[in-house]
Amino acid sequence: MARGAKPPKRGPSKITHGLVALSSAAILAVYTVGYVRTESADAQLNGSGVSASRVIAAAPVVLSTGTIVPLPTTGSGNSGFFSPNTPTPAPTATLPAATPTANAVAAAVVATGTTGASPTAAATRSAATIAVATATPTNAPAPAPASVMTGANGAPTLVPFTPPRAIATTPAVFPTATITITITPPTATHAAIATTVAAAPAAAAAKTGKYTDGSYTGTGTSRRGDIEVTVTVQGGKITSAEITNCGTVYSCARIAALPGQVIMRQSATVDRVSGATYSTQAYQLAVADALAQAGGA
Amino acid sequence: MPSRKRVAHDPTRADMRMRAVIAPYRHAAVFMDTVVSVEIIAPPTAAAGVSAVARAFAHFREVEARCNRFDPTSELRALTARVGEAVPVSTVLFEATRFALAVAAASDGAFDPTLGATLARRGFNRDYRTGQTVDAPLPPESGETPSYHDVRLDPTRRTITLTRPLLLDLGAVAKGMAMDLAARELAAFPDYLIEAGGDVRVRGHNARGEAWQIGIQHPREPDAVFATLAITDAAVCTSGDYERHAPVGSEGSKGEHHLFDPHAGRSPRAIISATVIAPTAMAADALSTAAFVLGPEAGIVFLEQQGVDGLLVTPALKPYTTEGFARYFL
Repeated sequence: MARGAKPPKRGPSKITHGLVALSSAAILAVYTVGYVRTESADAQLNGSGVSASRVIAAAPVVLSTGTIVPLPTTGSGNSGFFSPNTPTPAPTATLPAATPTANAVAAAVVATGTTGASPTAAATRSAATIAVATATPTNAPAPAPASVMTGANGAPTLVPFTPPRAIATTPAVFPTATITITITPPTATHAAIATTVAAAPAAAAAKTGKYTDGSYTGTGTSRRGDIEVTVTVQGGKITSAEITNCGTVYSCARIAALPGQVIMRQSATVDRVSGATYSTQAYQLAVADALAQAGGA
Repeated sequence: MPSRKRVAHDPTRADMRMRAVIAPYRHAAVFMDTVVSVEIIAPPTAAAGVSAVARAFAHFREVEARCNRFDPTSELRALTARVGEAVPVSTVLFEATRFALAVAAASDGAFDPTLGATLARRGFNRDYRTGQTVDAPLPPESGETPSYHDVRLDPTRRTITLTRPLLLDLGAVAKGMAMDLAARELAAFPDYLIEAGGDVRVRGHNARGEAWQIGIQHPREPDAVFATLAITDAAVCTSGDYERHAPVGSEGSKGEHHLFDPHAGRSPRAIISATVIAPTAMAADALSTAAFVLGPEAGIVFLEQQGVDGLLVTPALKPYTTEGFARYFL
């Protein structure tokens, strides 16, 4: 894994804030603004105008990986921003009571460069600013209380915190220089996946494996033609399921020339297919056909 | 019965199997030129499921109305008509654009939301609701094509400024955003699935009490699955060259599809399928598109930098994965 790659040759080094965290912030911003419309949709449906299941996130949302919440751009700092756990803040060093979830939202700190979070001088306030720390709801004393609390004068007290992992504190620079990357060859990947899949419940599988070891061929049909699959069972578990023949509209020569094909699963059924434009029925039928011969149900 | 990973004896699971006999609530509709479907496992009441899905679909409607480049009455098109002005926009359009630009910057332009006019010229200019070809709202381009550098945002005033004529294309980002907003409407339910055109966002477990089993479409076999993943609280998005081919007759359409590499001036060829697993659909969708354009090696580096997992497939069906991807294989 190549880390610390060289920065791009043109322009200054890029510092990003973690696109995943940015997406969470964007969703939160849109949702809190837009709930009025969804409320009306709900009201039309049940006629009551009240939705018991709707949660209005006026405060930071508790997410298991921490979240970056855009700072309200009042221009006067975060005076309007409070931790949801401290409705009547007290200037103590203890963390506020935890929410029922495992990670409590405990702090919001303006990343002005004083906290060690990734500052970006050029970034605008609402794009860069708040990083919400996660704190475990234990009674462990916090030497560095990770809370924004209002002091006696009502002004928030900013304290340092450790940014959660979700925030990219290292510059996520996109490299354009040549990088040597070790890519696992398909056969090794294939074996690695087989090991991974078989490893954890390997002991149990040896005892309770539903399939009889061997190699089985199944056929599945679809409107696009037939697919033949050969399933190999070792140690009671499926170790490979290869398309061995195709009568589909696609050229069989193409299938024969697929060296890196990774088809590795323990069940013929999937709930949904990502990237699907076509059904998976023929393949599922073919594997199920093969598994039926192997003694599976 | 095929073996599958089972949670050890757990009263919660047993409880779920009992609750699973309550029919899941399913509903589907068409938005953004694709079928959007929601499945809620064991809603406490039918009414709760119905109202939640109605609110979820309202988000799709809203996002589409704001971000649809094919609809001449959309907010995006209204923005397009005002070049050089700081145009106040809705939060939806602002946040979608801001995120798209952030992905563009992070990927050094491999992903670029300012390619609307280019895509239209390549034949992706049809409004799916009317079937009509949409006239390009821009004058013919002279000089360089626009890029993400030509859009300026002011978060304080929530304005977007197009510094030159260009048409934003927010397809990848808008769909993901709508899915994530819909997911928030379903926050009361511990188990659900949202799918929009092959992008899937799930929470909890399926009706059998297992992690959701999400297959990745085989990029060359329409009825085959390339891999199956066990997903429980994440979004899975796959971009493929097989999804939408560039309409015949558009410039050099052989081998061209809906994904575009702005640096190369044509569809990427080193990747035929890119799958990303991420906490949000918005990130998964945009990052799968960016990784697709970046190619097998740079794409993996990019995904690792962003802290997400992904699987990239070459035309020879060779898979490239992030280090953590293998744990999702079923």
